[in-house]
Amino acid sequence: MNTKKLYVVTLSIVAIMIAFVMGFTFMPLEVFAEETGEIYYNSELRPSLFSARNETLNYTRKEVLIDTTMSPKTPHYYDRDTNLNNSCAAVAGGIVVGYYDIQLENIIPNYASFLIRAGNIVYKPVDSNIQNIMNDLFVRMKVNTTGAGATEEQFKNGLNEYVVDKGYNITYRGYGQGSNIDYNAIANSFKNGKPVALFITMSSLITNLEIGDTNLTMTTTAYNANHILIANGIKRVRYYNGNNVIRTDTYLSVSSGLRQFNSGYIWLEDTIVNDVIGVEIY
Amino acid sequence: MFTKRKLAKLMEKQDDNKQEINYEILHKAKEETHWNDACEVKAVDNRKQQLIITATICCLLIIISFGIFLGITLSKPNNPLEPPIHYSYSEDNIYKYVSVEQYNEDKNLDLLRFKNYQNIDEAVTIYTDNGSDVLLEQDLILLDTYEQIKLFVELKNNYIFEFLSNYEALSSEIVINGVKINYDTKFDEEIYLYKTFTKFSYKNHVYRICFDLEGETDWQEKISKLLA
Repeated sequence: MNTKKLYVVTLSIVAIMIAFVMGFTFMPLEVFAEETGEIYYNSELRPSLFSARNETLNYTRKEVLIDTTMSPKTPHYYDRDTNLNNSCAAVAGGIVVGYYDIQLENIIPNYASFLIRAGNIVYKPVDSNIQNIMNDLFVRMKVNTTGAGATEEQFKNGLNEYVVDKGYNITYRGYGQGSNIDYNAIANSFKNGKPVALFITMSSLITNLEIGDTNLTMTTTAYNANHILIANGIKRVRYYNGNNVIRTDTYLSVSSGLRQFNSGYIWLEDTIVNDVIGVEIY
Repeated sequence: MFTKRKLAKLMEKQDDNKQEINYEILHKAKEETHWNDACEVKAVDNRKQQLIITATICCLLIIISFGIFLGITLSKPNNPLEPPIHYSYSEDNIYKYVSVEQYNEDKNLDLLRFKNYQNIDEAVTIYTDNGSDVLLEQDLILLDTYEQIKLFVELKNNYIFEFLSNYEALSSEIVINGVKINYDTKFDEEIYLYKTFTKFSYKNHVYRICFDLEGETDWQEKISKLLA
């Protein structure tokens, strides 16, 4: 190999190396995190227009396989102060804490997350007390410290730290991943008053769900993100055309943690489910 | 240089050379050579040319005027011909503000806001698009009853805020303090309060207010105070 060729080869290798290093330097944190095997749950990667979409399905009959909802449901909190970026883990943790405050008096010291109105338990809206709990969880969950948002482990550890700090215990129970989900176990969790945390890669949230006798209407709003939500109900419905099954849908009723659409449904068959865990605080 | 005498002689000589014009011969010559017809054709040609030049100039002026008109019209920021902008909401394009009073002072505005309430928890949020403020939200929790009021004020026209779709197609109408207000009220069984969505225009701004209140018509008194 002559000297000229050697120079060309060396320069090419150097150029490739520079491009490689630059590529890593400017790679978004969440992409790097996913490549290393961890999913960071954060705010929307591609901000949507919240464009509403209607989906309808006609059928001759339906079979309701599961229909269970917690009573009371979970509170619909969100980051009211707008100070917390990638805050879904902290907000989801706040929703769980706000819910358990009905049973566990000191989980939120010197404050009640609810009041009785016309004989019914009603959650207070997100005031500064609830905001402070979410701010606290944001720090405990180490949000945005190792990546954009928080991992499932960071969510669990941060919530565990808060609960133990207040003198209580916490247990997480796995209910499946991907297409291998134990729907009956989720329903039982709701029957027993235990909310479920969803770790999902979602593209939309159902803001209105109407399951009629022969017609299904879903209004969805686009939301593209790795997101943590707290579920409080499940509906599993099989739709038929004559004797043929058209499809079987599973809808989880959720406190979404979003500022604008803070409640709705997640259509599991249209969602990448990374993990589903039941959360019990005692 | 000529002397006056020499000049006078010369002028006298020039006068002697003058002959009277014989118009009869001139007319005859004109007839024989078709002089008049030729002159008429030439005059018509000149008029046509003038007409074409005038028409061309007029056309040019019209085209230039139309161009200037289009330029001025299309360069207007809030051109009604522009399609509305769908507001793209994200965590990154909202920020917190101290109060609506402060916002009014800083931006030299006079936006309506709920004021003089005791024992409240208030949050003011500004929604932005490409660095400009497009929507203001005043969120008020009345801590004695845990009722809630959310006020949205459009700061820029021509935006569609899809997350405010509940405020569109309101079925009822009422006039309070001379302002026409569209509204809808329903009982929210999750919070056990009457939820009323209202929308109205006031001094070049569109206002949307959501009331979560114990009384079905309590919102009317609150709007009356707001507009007073």
